[in-house]
Amino acid sequence: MENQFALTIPWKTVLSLTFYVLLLIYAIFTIVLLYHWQNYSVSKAATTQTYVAYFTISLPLLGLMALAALAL
Amino acid sequence: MNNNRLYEKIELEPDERVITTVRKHWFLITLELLTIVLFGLAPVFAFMIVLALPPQEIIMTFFETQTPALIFGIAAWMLLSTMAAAASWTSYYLDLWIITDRRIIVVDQINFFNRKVSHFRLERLQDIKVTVKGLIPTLLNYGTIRAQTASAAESNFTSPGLPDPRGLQALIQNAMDARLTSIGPVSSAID
Repeated sequence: MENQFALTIPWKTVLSLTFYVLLLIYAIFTIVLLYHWQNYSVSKAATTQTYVAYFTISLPLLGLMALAALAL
Repeated sequence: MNNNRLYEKIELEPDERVITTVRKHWFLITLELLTIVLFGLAPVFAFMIVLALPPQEIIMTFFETQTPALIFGIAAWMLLSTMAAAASWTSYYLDLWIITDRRIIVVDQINFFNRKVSHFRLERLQDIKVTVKGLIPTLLNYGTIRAQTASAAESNFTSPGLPDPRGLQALIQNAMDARLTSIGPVSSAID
């Protein structure tokens, strides 16, 4: 039987919503991560290297996601 | 290891000297990170397999029409993998044993919201057991250290995956002997 009340959400909207949810998760995770390294790390060099590696990998991926969800 | 930084984070007693700091064996974190990286790259491998197969119209049409969704999906998967790797690395790096000339400080960073810092005085240590079990731990020389103390509140502690456990056992034993000698047999018996 055909569903007369089927809701169709465009792909673009789904992608945008997913992007904002993931962005929120990323922001919360990053704050927790930075808090731990700032408060509990015993090596300044290791802390800096961890920050550099984390942001070097995650920010381009986030940019790519933003591009795919919002611009393309 | 920058000890000044260490002293800021963990309060040492006056004239207390750090003998060594120990983290879990490098093989454990390497294995964990490698697994996460392989999981992170799984969509890329899947994409390459699909491209290597004879082209099918339905797949090609999907690729052409849903390119942004595909890019988004792969990037999101890799971002989540990066976060998992960061969490693993944080747990590994912040998990620490500090052996001083007076006590053992065990920092147990189980996950982000589960952190335990315990202090065990060397003069209260009664027994230290080392277990190296399995082929890889034997070859790479890592294992579990179990120590028992005289105090009821901190009766024993266990830490798996420590590098060179026998060397560590000897180091703790020597530090313990030196501590008992420095405080004298009468005071150690009272403690």
